[in-house]
Amino acid sequence: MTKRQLGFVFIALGVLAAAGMFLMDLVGAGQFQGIGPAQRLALIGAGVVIFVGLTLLPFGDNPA
Amino acid sequence: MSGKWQVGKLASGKSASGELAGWQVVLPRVLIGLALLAFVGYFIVYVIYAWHLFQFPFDYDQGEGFELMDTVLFSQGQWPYRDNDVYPFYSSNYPPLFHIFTVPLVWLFGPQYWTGRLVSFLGTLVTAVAITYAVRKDAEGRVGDAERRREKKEKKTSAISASLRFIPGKRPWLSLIVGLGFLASNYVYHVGPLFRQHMFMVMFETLAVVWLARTIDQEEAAGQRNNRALLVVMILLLFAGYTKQLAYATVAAVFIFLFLRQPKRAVLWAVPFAAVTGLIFLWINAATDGFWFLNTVTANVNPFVPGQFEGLFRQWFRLHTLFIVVAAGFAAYQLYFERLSVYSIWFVVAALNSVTAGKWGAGESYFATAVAASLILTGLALNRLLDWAERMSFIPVDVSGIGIPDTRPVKRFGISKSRNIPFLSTHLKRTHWQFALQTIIPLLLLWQAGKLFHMPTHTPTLAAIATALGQPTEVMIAPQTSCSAPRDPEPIPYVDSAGVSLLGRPPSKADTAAGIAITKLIARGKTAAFAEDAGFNFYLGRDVVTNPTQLLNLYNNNAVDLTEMLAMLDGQAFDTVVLRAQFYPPEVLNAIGQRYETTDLVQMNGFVYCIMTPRSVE
Repeated sequence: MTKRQLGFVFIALGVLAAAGMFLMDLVGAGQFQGIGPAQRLALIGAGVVIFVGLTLLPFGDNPA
Repeated sequence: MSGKWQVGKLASGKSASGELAGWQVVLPRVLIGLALLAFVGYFIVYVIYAWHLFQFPFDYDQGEGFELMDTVLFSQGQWPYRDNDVYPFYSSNYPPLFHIFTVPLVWLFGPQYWTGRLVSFLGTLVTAVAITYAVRKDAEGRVGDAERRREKKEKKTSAISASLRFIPGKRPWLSLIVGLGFLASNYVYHVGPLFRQHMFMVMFETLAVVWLARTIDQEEAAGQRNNRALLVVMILLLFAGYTKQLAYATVAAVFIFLFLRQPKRAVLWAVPFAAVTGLIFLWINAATDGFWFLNTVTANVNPFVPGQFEGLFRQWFRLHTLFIVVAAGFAAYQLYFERLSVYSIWFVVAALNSVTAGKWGAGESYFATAVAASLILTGLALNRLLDWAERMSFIPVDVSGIGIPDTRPVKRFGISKSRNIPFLSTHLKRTHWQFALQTIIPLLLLWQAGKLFHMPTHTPTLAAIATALGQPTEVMIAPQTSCSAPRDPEPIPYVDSAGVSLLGRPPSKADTAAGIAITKLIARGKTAAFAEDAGFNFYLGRDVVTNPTQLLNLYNNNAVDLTEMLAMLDGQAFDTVVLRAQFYPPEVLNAIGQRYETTDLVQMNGFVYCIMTPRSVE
């Protein structure tokens, strides 16, 4: 696997995690109306993962 | 201490340290000696603590006696995964392997606490050796690689300058310090010599990861796969998982690493690994009529306490700052500029998984895996940093006795440039840089040693050492009460930078006497005690009744029927009840309060035990 591919994996995981957080709201899970504290933390985490993924893209075909 | 330059067969090179002034060589060595002394000191303290624990015949940490009970049941060919609804209301919530490893000692010596404590303690020593081995082998591997590269180059050219190659240092002191660093961690010290399975899991995890790293390195060097070695890794992972469920994080880290390097092979190994793990799970579940699943899965669904996690996370960082910062930095470096090693992935996954320390019933030991991973990365990173500094410092002023200057091209930002530099001034700057790192690294290790400070001070020698190090010799701690009135703080001969800790203080003769006093109170009755600790009934050779935290976990998950237990308490079927932390479900505590009254209070290991006997029934 290359750094670029790893970057895409990170981005996909981050997007999925963020989408999952919003999906939880749709199905009514959690104790809070809107975005709760745990969801906010998870969303920040997902954002960090996406950011790391983006920064890996320029490293191209170097092995991961 | 350092790496060296070799100049092929034509001339001998000067070691990097040979360019430093005498005091610049001596000072780092003195500092390294001091750092080694500090970590060896922690090891001695660890052995003292373990030795005292081996001699203590009762529960030191809540739950130890139940792990002994599991071992006893296995030694009798019985499963400890049982029906909690019926007498003796006992079941285990842990996988079996640690207890199975301890069974031979129980066969030989009976149900003794020291058996499992010794096995766990030895497990931590194995882990420390594995950490040392990992760092040592990495250094040796880089030495070998450098020598192979040099020989290859020499075959191609006879030029002296082409044969100049830096040979990295092995630095046994560094591998030793990181290995001892594991035993010096406050968390490992607290839990390592207890009859708990956690550190045995960490041992299998560490062995699996270190063996995997070696296997992949050797495979890549030889260009040939070694499936037998990978099978050993899988067996070690299986052992880790069947020692404690928490090992799933290391399993994930191993397969993530394999997937990055060899995706197809990772999948091919993941399928049988999952199948074997699942089949063992199903077999135990069938053999225990489903009580395996109930007690190891359902009973482990506990509420998450964010404050508990935050406090432990902050403490972990405060105590292990250098190891964490270096490990995180090296992992980030590998993420962008090298291939990710299994150690980096393991560290990140273990650190993320430490969030489970916030579960009710979890604790500091949940960080032990991350501590082990961070230590290996610290060793690797510091070795490379020192190699880099020494490589930078070298200028071959007298390569062959004919005054050949260093004309090798330098690479900056990927562009080769001629090394047309002012010779002496640059050399001086670089040797200063080398000296700085060789001084700063042992200083940082000493600073880290200070952050981990923990020491029993129950002997004059240990108290004198603590005083000489500027530490207090006693800490005022109030005994922990739950079923009795609060008590005033009292001096405890144990100092720990982790803060007020109920673990770490070697149990004293007074603690043993207190335990025996409790057993004498129980012995006035004829039945087994309904006790939160198993040790008293073990001492008297009576049934071990209840596993309170397990009952509470099941109660909180609506998975236990307390009818029979409540009826027995209501009928005062037990002559004695012993409470320590009141971990029983509220209904059980209520029944005890209705039918029993406190007659004696006995303090042991900083806890006040309430000994209760039946109230007179009107």
